[in-house]
Amino acid sequence: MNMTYEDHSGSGVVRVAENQIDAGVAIQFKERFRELVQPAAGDVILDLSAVEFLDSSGLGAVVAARKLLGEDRVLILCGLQPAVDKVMQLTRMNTVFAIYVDSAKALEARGIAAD
Amino acid sequence: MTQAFVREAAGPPSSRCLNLTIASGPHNIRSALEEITAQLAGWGMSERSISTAEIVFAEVLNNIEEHAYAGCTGGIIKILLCRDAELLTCEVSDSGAAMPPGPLPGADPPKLDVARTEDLPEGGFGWVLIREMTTGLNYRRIGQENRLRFQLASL
Repeated sequence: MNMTYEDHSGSGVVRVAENQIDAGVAIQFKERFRELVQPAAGDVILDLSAVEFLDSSGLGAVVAARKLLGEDRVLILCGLQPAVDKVMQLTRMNTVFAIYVDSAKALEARGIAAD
Repeated sequence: MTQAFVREAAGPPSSRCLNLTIASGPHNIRSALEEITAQLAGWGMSERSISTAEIVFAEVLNNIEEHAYAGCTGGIIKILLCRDAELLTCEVSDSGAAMPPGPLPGADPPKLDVARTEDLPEGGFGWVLIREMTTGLNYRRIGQENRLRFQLASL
């Protein structure tokens, strides 16, 4: 599961460099996410711009990621492709997460300039 | 030995069908989704309709593997899609365990307005998606087989 973490003044951007988050990789996604965010303490922006396909297992993995951060940190989503956005809307998960068009916009909303 | 993957496309141009038989397992399900989306693209369906179909079939096939076949790989799943001018009529059959009696799941979506983050639901979305994205959803238990039928937009 190809995912990276970048610190931006205390907020982390986790980029998923895979084109699917589905039943086959949900567990790896959660584990890799945990590895990446555990050393840090701030909010996390999950950049899904490379993800073309997310099913209910992938959605469950994103919720699990949210829970991994705990009550004191927030998970923000960005870069949703149309198919992923549709899943978020139909399940009303778009009411649970703040969603931005890209990581630059998400960082800007937190008063952080993207490099 | 069971064939892992069998594919036939048949029918006159005005009513086209795709017939797939697979053995359950994540690799085969992924391959089936690729076959299905490739065929739908070949029939000239829009990207949007193809992506809807892909999600619905992913949910249906994963449900069969996880629940009907209780996570065992190798269970047979038969998939039939037929396209006419307006609709894609689909039928998926398996010979796994029956669905529990009562209405199909997903009528009550999982509750999202929870007090604490740790109470957010991680499951229960599959049937919500299936219901939202299909019409004519119908499940029957026929002998030792499950048969799920549904329709998708074919434009």
